Amino acid sequence: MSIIKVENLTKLFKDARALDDVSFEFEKGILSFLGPSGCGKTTLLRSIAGLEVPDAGTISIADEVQTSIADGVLVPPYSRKIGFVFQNYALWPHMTVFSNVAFGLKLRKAPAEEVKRKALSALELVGLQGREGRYPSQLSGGQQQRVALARSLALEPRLILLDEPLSNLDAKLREEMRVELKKLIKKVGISALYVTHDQEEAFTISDAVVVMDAGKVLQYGTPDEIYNHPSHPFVASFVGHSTLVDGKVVAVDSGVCRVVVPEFGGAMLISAAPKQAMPGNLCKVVVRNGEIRLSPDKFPEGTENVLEGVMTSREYRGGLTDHRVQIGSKEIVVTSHKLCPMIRVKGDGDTTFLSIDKSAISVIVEQ
Amino acid sequence: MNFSTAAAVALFAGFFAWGSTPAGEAPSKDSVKKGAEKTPPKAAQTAAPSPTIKAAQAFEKVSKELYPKAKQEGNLIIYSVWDVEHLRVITDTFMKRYPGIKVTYWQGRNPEIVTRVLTEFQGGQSSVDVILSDNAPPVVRAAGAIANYETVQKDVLLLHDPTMATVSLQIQALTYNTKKLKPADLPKSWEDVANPKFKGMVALDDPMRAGPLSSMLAGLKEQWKDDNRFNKFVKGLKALGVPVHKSTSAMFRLMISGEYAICMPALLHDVMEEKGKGTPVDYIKTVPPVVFPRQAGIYIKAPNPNAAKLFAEWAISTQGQQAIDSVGRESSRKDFKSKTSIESAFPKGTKPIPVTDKLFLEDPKKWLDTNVKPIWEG
Amino acid sequence: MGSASIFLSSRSSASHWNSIKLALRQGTLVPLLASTVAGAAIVTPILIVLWRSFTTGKLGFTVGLNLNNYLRVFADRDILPMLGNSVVYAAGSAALGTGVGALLAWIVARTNTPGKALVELMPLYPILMPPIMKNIAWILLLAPRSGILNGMLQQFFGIETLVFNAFSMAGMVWVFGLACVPLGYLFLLPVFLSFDPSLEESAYIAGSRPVHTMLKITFPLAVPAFLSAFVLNFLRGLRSFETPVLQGTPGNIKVFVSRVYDSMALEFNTGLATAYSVILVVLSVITLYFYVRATRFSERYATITGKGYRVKVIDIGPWKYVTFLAVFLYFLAGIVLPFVVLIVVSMIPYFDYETFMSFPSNAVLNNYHTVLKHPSFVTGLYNSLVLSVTIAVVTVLAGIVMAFTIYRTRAVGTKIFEFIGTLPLAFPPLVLSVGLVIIFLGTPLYNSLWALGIGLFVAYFPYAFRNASGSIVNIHRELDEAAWVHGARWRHVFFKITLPILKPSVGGALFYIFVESIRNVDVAVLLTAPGKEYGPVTLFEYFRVGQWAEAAAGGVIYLIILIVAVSVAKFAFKMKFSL
Repeated sequence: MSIIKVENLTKLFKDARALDDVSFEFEKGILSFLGPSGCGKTTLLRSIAGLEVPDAGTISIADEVQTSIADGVLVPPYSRKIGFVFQNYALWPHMTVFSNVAFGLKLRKAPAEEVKRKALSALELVGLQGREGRYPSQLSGGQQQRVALARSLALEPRLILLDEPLSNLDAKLREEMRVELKKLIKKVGISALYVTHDQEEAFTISDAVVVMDAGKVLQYGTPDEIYNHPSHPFVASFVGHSTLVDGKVVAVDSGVCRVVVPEFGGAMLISAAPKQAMPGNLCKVVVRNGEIRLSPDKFPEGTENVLEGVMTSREYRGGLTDHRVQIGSKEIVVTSHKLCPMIRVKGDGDTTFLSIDKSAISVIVEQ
Repeated sequence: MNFSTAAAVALFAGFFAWGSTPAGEAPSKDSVKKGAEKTPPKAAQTAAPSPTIKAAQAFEKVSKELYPKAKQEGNLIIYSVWDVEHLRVITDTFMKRYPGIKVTYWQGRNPEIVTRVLTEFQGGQSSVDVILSDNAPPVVRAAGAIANYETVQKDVLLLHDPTMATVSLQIQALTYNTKKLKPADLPKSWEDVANPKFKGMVALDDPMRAGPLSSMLAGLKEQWKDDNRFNKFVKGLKALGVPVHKSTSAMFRLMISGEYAICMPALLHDVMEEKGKGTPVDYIKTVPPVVFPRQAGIYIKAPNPNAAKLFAEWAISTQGQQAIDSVGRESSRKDFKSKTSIESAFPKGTKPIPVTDKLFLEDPKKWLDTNVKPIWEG
Repeated sequence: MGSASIFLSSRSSASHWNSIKLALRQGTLVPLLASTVAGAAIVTPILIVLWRSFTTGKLGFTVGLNLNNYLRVFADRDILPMLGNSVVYAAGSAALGTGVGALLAWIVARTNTPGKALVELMPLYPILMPPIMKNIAWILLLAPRSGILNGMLQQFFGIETLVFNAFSMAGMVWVFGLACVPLGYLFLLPVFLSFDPSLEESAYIAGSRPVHTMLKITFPLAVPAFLSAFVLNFLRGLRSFETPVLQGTPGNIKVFVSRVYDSMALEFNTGLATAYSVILVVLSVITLYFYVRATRFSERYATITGKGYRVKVIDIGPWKYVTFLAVFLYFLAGIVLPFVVLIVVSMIPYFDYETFMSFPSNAVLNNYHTVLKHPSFVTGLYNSLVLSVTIAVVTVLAGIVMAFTIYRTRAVGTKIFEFIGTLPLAFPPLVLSVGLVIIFLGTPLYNSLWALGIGLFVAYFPYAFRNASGSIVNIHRELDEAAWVHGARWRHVFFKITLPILKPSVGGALFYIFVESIRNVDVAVLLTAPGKEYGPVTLFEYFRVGQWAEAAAGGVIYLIILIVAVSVAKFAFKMKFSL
């Protein structure tokens, strides 16, 4: 059984395609929809919830068809047995925390004592026990978000949908919350669909990620797959901090390919070869910023992927430093941290040498 | 109903001769004809009995006839333009006199009354018995919704209409603010109001709205029978250069406040009431009043026709008139003595100007469009 | 949040049909049905009246289908200037009144003006003053030659020129404009009181100062409520009769609606009156069209969000004394001044300047005796109280349901209810009432309290509806959606979410409609059964027949009763205008 299965989902909005033939299937766990604003991830989530009606396609939850435009099936939102956590919490301002959380339970006409028990236990789950008498306006942002979560959890749904739930919180809280969120969801044992534009968040929380842009699914895989083997230039540039350059495959030999990069002044780079790579293929080369060694001096002979360039600037990011190095016509960003041994470079304007690990480079053959 | 028409004509003739002929003379012709229909009056009189007594006798008779039938009907519904307060007093008195008849009333403005009655009429409803108002009854009659009824007491009426009982009169008087005009400067007649020396000082009713001024114009035109004189008068009013009002009551108040010096026109009972309070207003006694009938018309589909007739007759009777007078409305009888009767309010020999032009009463707009509009808006 | 604002507005017909199916599945059939029923009740008398404009001549005379009435209307030379006057009068008053009302609402809700309890109450009392009383009082104050203010200017300042003139467009706009303030205030107060401050905070952070934010963020978001009140006031102005008659005619200013009344009063021709009214209807439709267009992106006006927030009070520094003064000035102009004039007028033997200024040495109380002896004073009061309370509750509820149907269900084509819900206001009361009478004639409902109730419902529905329509767009859709997703059907959403959140607006609408309907039965006067008096309305007969002193006395008594009642209600039941 798959907890969620989407087939050929399309939604038109005026002349643009908010969703363009989206298909994927996910068995269970936490699945993220990742992409920039306007990529359709929220529309996808809302369609799954039944809050939007697509123009074509099918949506099944736990193998039960919820939406099927072709067959005229449209299960209303209140019958889909899901939870939904809104980005802006959508707490009802005129009700107490308890009433907000107990809302769905009361609708199911559960006996009062059961309602109370489940609501309170949901609140305890999110760490808000004792606050049930408060009103949303009396809580902090993080607390409000947790109430929204408790509201959905109280109904013990099979699937919970979260629409950028942490984007209104400050960075530190966000980091804490996402770990907590994952623990909580796993503890309760339900599956979740999670919309975010923050790649780190997606990767931390999810078991699988759907990367989207302009209504299309670009790649669907585990965080590792997506990070290390982006199948699409957009995915590569969106995910992680990297530099993207054009290149041409020169040679392929036992799983390793050599690519010439005109923008680097014709430098040759070696990396793992993607499956379909053939000499002569035009490709995009992705270089991840965090896996480059910097040195003011030349590297020993035989070091992989050595490049020479000029340091143009450095930005201290509080624990990390971004070094900008001009190589050929391209500026490459190298992110280093305290433990990375080669940050002792002299200064701006000086010649710098870079060495890139084979594993830090991905080659995407252009179709 | 040839007889009625003849009687009406005779009465009108008698009316105009009212000032100069002794009261007893005019009705003598009719009494003979009347006697032919009803039981003869008491034989013991040597001289012809006064109209007052005759009317009283006629009333008693018809009252005795109608009351049992009315009591059986048990109800009476009135639509009226009069104040609820006044209606309450009048109907209470009626109910006391005739126990067993429950009277209910609905009060509205004239257009509302006409609208309601005629809409109900078109819907075939038997919804009301008596329509008690000034402007409304003739209009309703023109549409065929009135059951003609002639009062047996017509002899004592100032203005008699053989189709509807005239129970009260609207009397207009030429009124002014005593603080603003000295006796020497007062207008000498209605016509004199159009004198340029009163430019800007007159609160003028809108002649085109079928209000009191329109009625006055209808009455004057009929009396003068002189188109040139009439046109000159209307032109003169226009030349006063004053804006017109659509609310006689507001106009009256503004004259009192001093905004204007003359109120053209005002209602006699309003003036009398204010005078009684010491307000600085007065009316010019030498200008004959304009008189407009207020009638109790009987609806053609009245559910309680006998009660309706009884009410109409009672309203004209002395007791009814007393009730009407007690709420400040002018009596319709020639022989009724009150503060607001022409007899006591005006010098002896004053000939009031009646408004009886049928066309005007039934279709005021048409009459105004023909006779006043070309001059007023031309 | 870009993609979140993509709603159901796809062009493809499959999606269209799907949206209807979804609407049906979501059980929104009931509000749709309820709105249709209410709409039918409103539209039927209108249709009847319109039909008569093609078939009726003078009352009592049937004519066949013809265009005579319309031909006369189009041949009327004076129409355009009169329409022009009407539009200037109505728009001027609506702008003045709604603007002042909105400003007062903002001051009370969002600033730190001192004397909060007082400041909250002051704008409410002028609502209690019957419009006719206002007319009398202001005429007495502003009449050019005999008015109090000009007299005072002359007496105390030696100013000979007649500065004030009640009988002018300015005079008319002033008096009616003042009467329009309550709607503006009551419609906007709840909006400002439930405003999510984060909407403004983002502006502050971007460098915008409080006044600038107020102008660029706060006020624009209150636009639907403001426009709703404005439209209401404008339409009332178009068909307003008393003020133009009393103040316009003596100033030679003719407004359009007098043609309608003349058709009824002079010619007894409902068909012609309707034909003239149609022009007003056209104007109303145009106005409403602009309203619908201006507020078509209703999602933009979501100021009540699901983020828990406390409404922000802005510190306006020394300006707070100015704002307090502003509220107080309105209180003076709106009720105190007219009230004082009325009290004096009710106790002097007659009105002119000298007599007025001699008060209280010449005070008498006989007017009060007269009024208190008035037969209907007590008997009608009960009827009208019960009826007014019922009408207020029913119309407000129905108004919310209709607004809900338009903005909260996803059925397409519901925008037409915006027009239907406001339409009765375009018809002068007497014209509309003919249609109502015809509907009930011949049925057992005629001459019953039911007919009167339905008539009042039709007459007052626009107020309730416009109020709800302007407010419901302020509720963010997510609050509904959160309920949907957690198992709610439409009735749960309506009763547990929408209605409670709308409580502050509802409170204002109930209050206003109750106060209005208890004294203003123009539309229903034809439906009142003989013998069943309808309360204090009869008191104002004094005014109609020129007994202004008695009218003033009656008004004073009535006003005192209402003021006491409202003050008690506010404190005892803690009638709040905020969440």
